[in-house]
Amino acid sequence: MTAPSEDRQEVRGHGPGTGALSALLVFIAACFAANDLLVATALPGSIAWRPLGTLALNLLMVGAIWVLSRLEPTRQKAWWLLMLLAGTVLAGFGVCASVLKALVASGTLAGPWPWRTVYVFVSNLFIGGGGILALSWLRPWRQWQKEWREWKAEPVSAATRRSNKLLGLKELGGMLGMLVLFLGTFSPQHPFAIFSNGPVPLWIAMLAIAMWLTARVVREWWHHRADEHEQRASDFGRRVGTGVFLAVTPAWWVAARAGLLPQPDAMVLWVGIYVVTSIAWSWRRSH
Amino acid sequence: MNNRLKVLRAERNWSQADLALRLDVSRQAVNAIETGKHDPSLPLAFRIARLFKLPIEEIFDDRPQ
Repeated sequence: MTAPSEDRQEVRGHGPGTGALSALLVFIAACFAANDLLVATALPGSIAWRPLGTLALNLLMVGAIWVLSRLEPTRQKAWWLLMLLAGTVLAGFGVCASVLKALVASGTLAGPWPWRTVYVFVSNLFIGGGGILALSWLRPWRQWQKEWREWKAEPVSAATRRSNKLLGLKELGGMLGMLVLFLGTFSPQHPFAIFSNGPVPLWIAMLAIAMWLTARVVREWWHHRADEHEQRASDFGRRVGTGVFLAVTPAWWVAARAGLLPQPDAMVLWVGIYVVTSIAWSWRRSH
Repeated sequence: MNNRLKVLRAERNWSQADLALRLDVSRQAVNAIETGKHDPSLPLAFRIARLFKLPIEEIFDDRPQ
């Protein structure tokens, strides 16, 4: 018999000691500060607000990482921690890449302050490297690994297994339809022509329509087989989506005729209503 | 609607997943019923009553607390 899920305790992961992590984060903050202040002094004008604003944001980011690393891990905190650490890594290596690109374009380090370029590159290399080190220490994904193991260990009813399989099949069908449409409309000049209203080759359209309609049939079959809680959540999502459609579509149509908005776009409407329906469905499932 | 599902489950040392398995529903459904966010249909209420070998009114109570 498994332990009651609500009684499961969160476990604190094995990370670095407070001192080591704090030292690393202070080092990253110092690199950010020196880098942003150098940029601030290099810009024309008496006060360079933009780099100082960036500095405030960077320090806030490092502070938030420290606070989150001290708190009891949960799924939400792990997400925030991962995003902030990924932001640190991207910020550091992104600046390094920009510096290298500029150097390759100009072909020289010459300038009024050539050491500044080297300094910005090295300090951002430290920021990116420090971010990776903090990521490898804190490993926020451990929380998801733990939840995944718990989820896999849970006994699942036959009805739920069937329902999950049907939902997975429906998602696969929808994604395959999108992939076919993407590949069929792709060109180097317009890589995202899938989202345009441009023409589509006939056989690509037929294939994508067939896959989409099959996915919808599977979706209806899933709804028929799902347990009543799932059905009610799904119905709630559809009701909200229908309400939004009935409210937005005529309003947009009239606004377009009055010249306030462009002509109604079926794809924009569909995406918007799909997102609203999915949010309402997910919300109802967890409430 | 109020219910004693959580107490009855705890008395048998069952997890929500264990109960869901016995009722052939999802764990989320059991959680939603226990927390009063979802009122079960009559067929599911009867399945619950049969599982715990209790009359429905000893598990569910529609009077406001």
